Amino acid sequence: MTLEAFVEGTLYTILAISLIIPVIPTKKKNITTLLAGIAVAIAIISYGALFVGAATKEPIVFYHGLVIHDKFTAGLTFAAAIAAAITLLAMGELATDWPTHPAYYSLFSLILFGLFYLAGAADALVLLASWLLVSVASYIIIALPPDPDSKAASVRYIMMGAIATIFLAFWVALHTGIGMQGFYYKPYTASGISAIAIAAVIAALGFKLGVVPFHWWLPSVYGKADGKVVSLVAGVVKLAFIAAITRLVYVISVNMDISSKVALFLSALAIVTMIYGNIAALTTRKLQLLLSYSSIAHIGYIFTALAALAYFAPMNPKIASLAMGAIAIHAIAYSMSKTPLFSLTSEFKGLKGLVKASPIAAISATILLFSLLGVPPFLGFWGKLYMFLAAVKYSVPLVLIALINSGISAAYYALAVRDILSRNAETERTPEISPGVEAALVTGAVITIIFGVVAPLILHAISP
Amino acid sequence: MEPFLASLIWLFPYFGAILMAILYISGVKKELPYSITTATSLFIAALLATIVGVHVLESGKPVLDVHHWIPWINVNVSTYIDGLSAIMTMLVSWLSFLIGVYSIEYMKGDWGYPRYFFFFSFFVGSMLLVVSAENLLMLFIGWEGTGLASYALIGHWYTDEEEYWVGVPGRKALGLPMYFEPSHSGLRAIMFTRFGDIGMLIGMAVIYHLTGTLSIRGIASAAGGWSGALAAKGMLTLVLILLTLGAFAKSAQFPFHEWLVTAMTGPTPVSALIHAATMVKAGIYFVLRFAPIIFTGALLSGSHLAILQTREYFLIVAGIGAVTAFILATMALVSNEFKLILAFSTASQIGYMFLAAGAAGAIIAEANKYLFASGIAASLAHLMSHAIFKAALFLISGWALHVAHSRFIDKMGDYAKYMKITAISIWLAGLSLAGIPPLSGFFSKELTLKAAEDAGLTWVYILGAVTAILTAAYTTRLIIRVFHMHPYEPSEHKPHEAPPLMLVPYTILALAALTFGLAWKYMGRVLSRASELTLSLGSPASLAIHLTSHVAMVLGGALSTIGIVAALYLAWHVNFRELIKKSVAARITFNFLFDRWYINSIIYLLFVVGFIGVSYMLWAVDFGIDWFYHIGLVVFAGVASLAIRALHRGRPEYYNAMYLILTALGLLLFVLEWLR
Repeated sequence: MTLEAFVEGTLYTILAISLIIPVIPTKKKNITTLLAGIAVAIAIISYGALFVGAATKEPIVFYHGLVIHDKFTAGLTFAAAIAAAITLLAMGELATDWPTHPAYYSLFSLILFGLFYLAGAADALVLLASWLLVSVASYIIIALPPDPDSKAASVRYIMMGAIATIFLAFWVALHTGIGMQGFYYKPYTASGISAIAIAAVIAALGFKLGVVPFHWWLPSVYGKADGKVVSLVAGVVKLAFIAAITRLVYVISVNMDISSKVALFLSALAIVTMIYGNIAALTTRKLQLLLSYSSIAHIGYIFTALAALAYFAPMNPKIASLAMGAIAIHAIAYSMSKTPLFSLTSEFKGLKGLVKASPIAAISATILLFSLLGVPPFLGFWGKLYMFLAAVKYSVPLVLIALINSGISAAYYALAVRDILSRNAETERTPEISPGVEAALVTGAVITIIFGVVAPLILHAISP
Repeated sequence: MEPFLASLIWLFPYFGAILMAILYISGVKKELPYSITTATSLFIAALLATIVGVHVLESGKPVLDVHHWIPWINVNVSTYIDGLSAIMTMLVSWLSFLIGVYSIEYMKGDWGYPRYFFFFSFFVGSMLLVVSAENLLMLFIGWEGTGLASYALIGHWYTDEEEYWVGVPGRKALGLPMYFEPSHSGLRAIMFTRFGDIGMLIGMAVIYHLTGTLSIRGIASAAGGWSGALAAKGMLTLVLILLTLGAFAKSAQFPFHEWLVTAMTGPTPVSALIHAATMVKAGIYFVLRFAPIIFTGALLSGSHLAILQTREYFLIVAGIGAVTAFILATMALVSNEFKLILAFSTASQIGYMFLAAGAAGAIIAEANKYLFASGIAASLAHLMSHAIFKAALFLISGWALHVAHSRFIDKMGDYAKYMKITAISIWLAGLSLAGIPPLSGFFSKELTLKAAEDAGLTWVYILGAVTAILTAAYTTRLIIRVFHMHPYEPSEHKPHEAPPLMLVPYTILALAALTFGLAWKYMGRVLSRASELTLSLGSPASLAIHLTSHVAMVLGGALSTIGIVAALYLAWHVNFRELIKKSVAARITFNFLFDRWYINSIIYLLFVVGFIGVSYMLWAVDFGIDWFYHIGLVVFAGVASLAIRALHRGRPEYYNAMYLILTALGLLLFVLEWLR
């Protein structure tokens, strides 16, 4: 049995689990949870094998080239599966008590299935299809928790997501008009239609990632909806989108005539996004809102490396490879921090006194926040380091701005850590942190530390 | 004789100070242990100084005691007693002992008794170290030690009660106060002298750089080399001025004299010891120590430039001395505080010593070593006689202030009726100050003027001669007002004679002024011998006074001034206070002199106000930076953050509009850039 056949087989198994869950009698609650657990375990094994296969051999081709997984996309897919396990760990059986049961577990498995296509898409139509699959699942998942805020967040998400989908469809249409026939990714020509196509696809994918000025939905969804569902959207799905945009930008920029223009566009977006996210995060003392603004800022950092990738794509594969590896490391660091932290916000709204509620959660959260800030030796430090190393070859001022922004972010991360470790709780009542969330935080922290220590090896393994 | 006795001279007062510190830490509250320790250690130091000094003068061989200390900069703990040091150690130690004894009575019941005697002994040790150190580093340690002790003793009454101030409370000149609290005065003393010390350190560094040694004998033997090398670059005058700048400041020469004036806030024995008899002499000692080295060095270098620049330097020294002598004498004429008059007089008389040393050095053009030695010996002679009579005057002032319960002479009067011995003492000491024979002051002052005459420095001589007459005038005014006239503002305190512990020291000193004058022939021989035994000098000196027309003129002027001043007050009953009230010209002159030529105010405006201005500017810059980081940036970031967050109110239609508009705008910009 080839690796391709094995992966395809597991994919359909996950899809099958996703479809079976809704037909299981609602009384058998723990079976649905168990099935979702099986799905995520299968995904980890399958995507892990995919990553090992892609890392040791050539990129692995599926469906006659519609989906191609190289070590970069396979690595991110694998990481997304691990993040999904973390979010499921935090959720546990909680969603079975919701009136919407068993939708969460079904959609969770569906998203696991869709991630594979989204991250590995090498074709415009596949990207559109997997986008729709994952997006629709995300919209619904956001609406599942019983509180009205989540429902409202979902409505906003859907309304804006529809426009983003139109941009994407617009791009698909334009894509066929550029150069060669068909929907495969290919380097763009210097024609005006390419510009519109690039702007459209960035506007669409940028929407999903939260790039300013396409980010409007993000604070309302990340910041308002229940943290446990947000963690799936913000920590898991986002990895696949990062993989998708990175590959797309890389492929279309392999043309000397346009690469510097694409890089300029991306770096402008990077600057605006970093500043916007960091400044906005400064004044909030709610962990969930702080995390959502910092998500915006982190996409800004990633875009600096993306700009370098676009710039060096046609001429210097070495730096382009470094930029890609850096993006992967930073995306993983981001995901390993955000997934458990968003889950935590579901049970812990403020900042002060977490250490009183659960010392282990507080210490893990501190490690994760430091990783986001970029303190060595945590993984986030290496992500920023490699991204800025790649970007500095493209533009020094851009990296300076990124570093200054990193400095600004120290203000709110440090305040957050201080409050988390403070014994003076804001309220008399000490919130209880569930063991699932504690386990999720510890897992995230352990991965952050271990991967942080061996980060240079990961860079080697994951850079194409 | 054992050389280590020389080191013990300065070590004993230090031992005393250490013992007192231990006593104080162990909680001894009684006064007796402190006074006994001080008197004993100073007496032993004085005896040792006499033994060593007499030995040096008789045997004709300087004593050197060397112990290794810091090998890598070639510095040893070494004591060197030659002719100059022999005279200085004897003078300093005996005066200190007498004033120490006086202090025992004077400071009785004072709340800072142990502190006073600790710093007193510490001071004497430091001063003896200055005059007997063989290398510049040791000398500098002693030098700064005297400065520290001086600071502590000037500010002894640091609680700043008004009775301890100096100056008329409320009086201002050029908008700046002309009255000073003890703590302020102590700080002034440190600041003024430290300014000079910086120059001294630079000078020392230059010399060390050129010779590789800090040993004074080493510097002396290499004098020809460094003198010529510096002269070739045109730097000799500047370096010499820097090297002796600390000496000018320490000896309160213009424009550094201001610190000495306000140092009168200290207890009177301190004024007598430090600010009249000894510490201010450290400066002139330094000049006397280095003048022969500089002089011989320039001659040895054989360089015409070196001789020219050395002469230039000595002319500056003589000029500063003459100017100081004159300016401070005019101030003494109008002052209404007993100690302040003596303080002005002190700086003025030290001016004579600088004048003589400078004039002696200016003889370099003729390369006449004998005349040079005579000038240096004249300076040393005046140093000695001044130390004695000024100590006597200050000790008397201590008693005068005590009985009047005031520092103002307006409240004193008719003391001669109540204290006969004190009156005789003050006349002896005062006439010595005024330069009347057969007192020692006459001989020494005429010798300093003779040095200027020999060097052909006419203007310096004229300033010196005028100052001699002014000196006679203010001395007579002081004694007549306090001892022979009714007080202007009578007080209820009835004067009486001083207790023996205070009376005896100043009587001894006054008689010494007389005895030294009567035995001037013998004194002259001793000083000439000392000059012969001084490092780099090695020549006998002439200290005889012949009654030339110039001497007669100055003496006649002084004598007639004494008569006129006495007559003005006692026979004609002129009331100068009324005169000043009536006449505008008199009032302007009076204010000018009383406010010390406005020099204090000018220094304050330039340095204190100037530096406060600089400080404010720097503060403003600092505040700006601080404001930017802690307020400006924070407020800006906070407002920006709130503004951005205000955009997110959760309205989907608004979000959609923003998304579309901004995407369209981004697309437009991107396409424009693309097609460019």
